[in-house]
Amino acid sequence: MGTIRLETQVVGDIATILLKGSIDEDADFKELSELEAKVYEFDFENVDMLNSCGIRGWISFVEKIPDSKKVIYKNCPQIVIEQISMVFGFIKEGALIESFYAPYFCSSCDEEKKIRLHTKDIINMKAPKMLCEKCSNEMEFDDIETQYFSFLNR
Amino acid sequence: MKNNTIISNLLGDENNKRLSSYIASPVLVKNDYVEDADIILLDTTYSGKDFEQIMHKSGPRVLLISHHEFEKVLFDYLCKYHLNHVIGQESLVLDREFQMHLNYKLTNTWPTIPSMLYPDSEIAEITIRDSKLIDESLDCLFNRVIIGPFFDSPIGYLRVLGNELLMNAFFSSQYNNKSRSEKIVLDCDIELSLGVDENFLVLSVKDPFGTLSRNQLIKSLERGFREKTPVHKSGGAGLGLYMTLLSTNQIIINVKPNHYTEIICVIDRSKRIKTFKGRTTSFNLYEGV
Repeated sequence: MGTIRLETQVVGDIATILLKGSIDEDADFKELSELEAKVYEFDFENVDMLNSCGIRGWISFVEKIPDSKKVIYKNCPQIVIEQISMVFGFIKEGALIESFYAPYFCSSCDEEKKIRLHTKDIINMKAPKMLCEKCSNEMEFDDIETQYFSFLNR
Repeated sequence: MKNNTIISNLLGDENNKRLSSYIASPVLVKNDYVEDADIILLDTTYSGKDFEQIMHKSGPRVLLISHHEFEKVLFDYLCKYHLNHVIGQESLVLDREFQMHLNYKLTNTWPTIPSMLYPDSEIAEITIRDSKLIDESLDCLFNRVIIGPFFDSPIGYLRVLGNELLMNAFFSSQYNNKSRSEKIVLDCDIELSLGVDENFLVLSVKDPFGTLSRNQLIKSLERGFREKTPVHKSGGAGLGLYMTLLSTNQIIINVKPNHYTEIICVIDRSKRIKTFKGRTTSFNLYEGV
């Protein structure tokens, strides 16, 4: 998809920033430092790759967001959740991860599915029960819960 | 294989039952520690009091099978001893991995993608000289190989692996302190290969510099696992090898100093991402190949 593109929409006090592409060594978040909003909502749905230099750039950017601003991470794909677990600082301190995608596996259909979850649905680090849309059987959470949900303890 | 090759077999009962059949003649096998043995087979259940002595005296000749998480393997073994071969106990293809690395050690050879895969496996190769063509080159490579049934999606992990290893290759030695946004055009090739068979999906990045030492490798991993934060200076973020380790099931490093460095990453075939994530990463370093 190429290096990250940012689509920003400001409604009232809320800036919603849709990130598309790769967070890599060429990712530039400077344009976001001019935003005047009380809430920053980062939508990661269309991020397809992160490398270590891109993560560094992202951390440098979020560290500069004043603590008085509310920061929300939305629709985090699996690769973003994995990076959050691997690298400290990817989530700004005090930020909220509102929603993310998690892998489930349906044994009947022999298929993996990515299911969008809300953080408030995770109780005691346990993945919520999910039914397969195709066959209605219960699916198995297809990752290690303590690892995948470790970001909740950050 | 030289005459009178000796293997010191100190594997626990479980691994011994499973793996000893792969130790074929004309090797001489001793079921205790032999200091002069060509290879020492050990696993992390070993309870002998001479463990430290074995590791200090014979580290590079030890092939260790570990049930520990890689972070523990790094700090308890790789940082403390000159150990170069660790195989994750939970590997679904433990037999194949074990046999492969034992054979390389016995014949004094080293892994290459063709030697790791079954004959007639699909292998694609590409060369690259321009650091701004990394992503395009990876896409080109991925489009040339049919990977077959896997969890969703190993290509995502291969993209991270390929990107980190290629960036390291381009920015090793003379360009190490340059900003990673700078375009580097080399006057030599970096070789990128992708192969697949019924067990493995294998990616290789090979540079013609050979500047990666064991010491640098272990230091970089140690910093990554300990700090889990990027280095905020010019140059790399200091997390590339750490992220690579966490995104692969097996890592093989072949280094011939001042000639080449090849890093091979293997993703074991599975339809379950839990299986991919649930095993200890195997680590195999071949120095001076």
